[in-house]
Amino acid sequence: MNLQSNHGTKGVSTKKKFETNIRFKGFIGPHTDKWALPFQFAKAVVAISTSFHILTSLAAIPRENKKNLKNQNPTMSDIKKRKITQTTMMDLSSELLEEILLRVPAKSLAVMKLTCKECKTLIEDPNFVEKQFSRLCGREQQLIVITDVSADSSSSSSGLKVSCIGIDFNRLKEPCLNVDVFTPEYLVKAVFECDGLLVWVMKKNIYILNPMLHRGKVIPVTPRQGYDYCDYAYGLGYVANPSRTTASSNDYKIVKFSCHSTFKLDLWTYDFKSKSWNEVLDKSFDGFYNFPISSVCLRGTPYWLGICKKRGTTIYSIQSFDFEKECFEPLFLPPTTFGWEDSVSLGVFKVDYIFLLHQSKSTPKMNLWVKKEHWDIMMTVVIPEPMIHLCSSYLIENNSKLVIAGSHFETNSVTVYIGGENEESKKLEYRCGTNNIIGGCYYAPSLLMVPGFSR
Amino acid sequence: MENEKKMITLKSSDDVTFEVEEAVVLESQFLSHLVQDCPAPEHKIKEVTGKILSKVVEYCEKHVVVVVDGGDSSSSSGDDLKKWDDKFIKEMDLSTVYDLIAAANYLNIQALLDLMCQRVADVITACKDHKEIRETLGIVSDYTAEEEAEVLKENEWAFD
Repeated sequence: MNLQSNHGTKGVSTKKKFETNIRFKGFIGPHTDKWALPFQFAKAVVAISTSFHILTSLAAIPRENKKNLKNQNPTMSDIKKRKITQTTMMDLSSELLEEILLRVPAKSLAVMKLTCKECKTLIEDPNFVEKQFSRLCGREQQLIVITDVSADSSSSSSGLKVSCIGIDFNRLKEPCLNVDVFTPEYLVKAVFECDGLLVWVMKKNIYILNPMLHRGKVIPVTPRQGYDYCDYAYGLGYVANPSRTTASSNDYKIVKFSCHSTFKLDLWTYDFKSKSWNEVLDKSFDGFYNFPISSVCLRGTPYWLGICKKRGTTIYSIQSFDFEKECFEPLFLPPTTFGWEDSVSLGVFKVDYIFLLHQSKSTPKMNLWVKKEHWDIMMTVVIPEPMIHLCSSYLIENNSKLVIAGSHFETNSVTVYIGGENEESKKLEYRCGTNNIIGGCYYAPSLLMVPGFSR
Repeated sequence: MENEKKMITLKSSDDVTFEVEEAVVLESQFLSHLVQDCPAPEHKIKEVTGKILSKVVEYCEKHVVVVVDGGDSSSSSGDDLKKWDDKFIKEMDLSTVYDLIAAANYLNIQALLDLMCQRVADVITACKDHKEIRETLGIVSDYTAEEEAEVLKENEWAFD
């Protein structure tokens, strides 16, 4: 049927072996409309290929033929020759190669990039990066990071080394993922994570890092009004868009606010597009009493759990920052009593819900509250010893395990518990060799380019 | 007559024939449309070799049986199916996996495509460095020595 129009059309390639299907397609030509819906795979792979007809009409010149354009019509002997040689991954069409790579975690993709040019181009493509992140978002490959300054400061000729202790959830028996980060300055606080990007406060500047890509962007700090940098909390996010899991690089924004018991709230936002800080007035929120205990980012909206002043007394409070309205919004706490020595931590459940982990000082039971329409206890895990300082927590959704990390300043160690409902928790200990445990956060490795990174 | 199952013959590119029940063919979106549109007793699939088609048929036959039988104890048969899938994958070399990916894509069998792509992804994930990935997957580096050094350098920490 429409042989000419299908033949030699440039575009994305399909399997070269199937190139001969032109005749076949002619055969089923009158029914091509029927292919529109059943061909679900096309939907997943290329947005434009909503029908089988389009997909095949976009069929490209097979790889071998790129070099030899006159060889557009392979003879039987060509086909036979190909079948004798073994198929390799690079023989697959770029759509199918993408289908495979979308299932590979970011950490391995960062390595895969080094194998060949075609892989590098595909893995660095922004569309691929976003697809990959939203596919693996909320899945098992997430890590908990607890950072500490592990390098001996006397031997810091190559800059300061900060080590992130993470957990690869595929290898829970050996909880050792060390992402070494060389920082040009002394790290004061590792404060926030959003989409695999970390916000770190250094002695003089703020850095946005992607440890998987080994990239860091320096953000100059705001003109300050006499406060010390330690009193500021940060958040990274973007104007929430329900249709997207991430934002494009330049849509990210930073929020920075003072946390102090006596001074009034000093609130700033940083816009990567204009590369500028803007002061924001928000009269609805007086600010946290001191540095937030825990933070998390939910689809571009940062949340902090901290202690607030309210009518002369201090209370626990969860606050989020709306980047569109540029104001804080409170979130009610779960209906339970919180004591000052309790362990509390925020996390994300199934990409879209916030959770709060709470353990009263007097009990080994740790409750996981999930906020859907209301707060509900989703599971209870027994932790054999009270943890005074919770670093971070994460819920592995497919097998309902809770991973909890806490630090012990006395022993210079980080303890990780992996527990489930009605089962004994597994305990793992990591000795840091330093009491300078800076903090931890929920972290999902991604290949997203650091916002504002120009090189 | 109702009890008699309709049989369909599939012929591979190298003329290997497979006689399968119609239900098995329906696992493939492509073949089910082909069978509906053209009620011939035999269908030649020029794009798939006998070796690969036999694997496709094996997979589809297993999955059809389990879905039909799984009425009363669906969870255990689901586990069995997963075990069967694992065994099915493990016995296969990567070259066959790639051919099956292409065939599953062409014949539009989403579950088989998912299974095979995940298999390759798992192999990549298990590799320690880029050299091991190259070796395992048979990727020939198209970087020159200088380019490779540059790419490796690009991978080092950079602050902007």
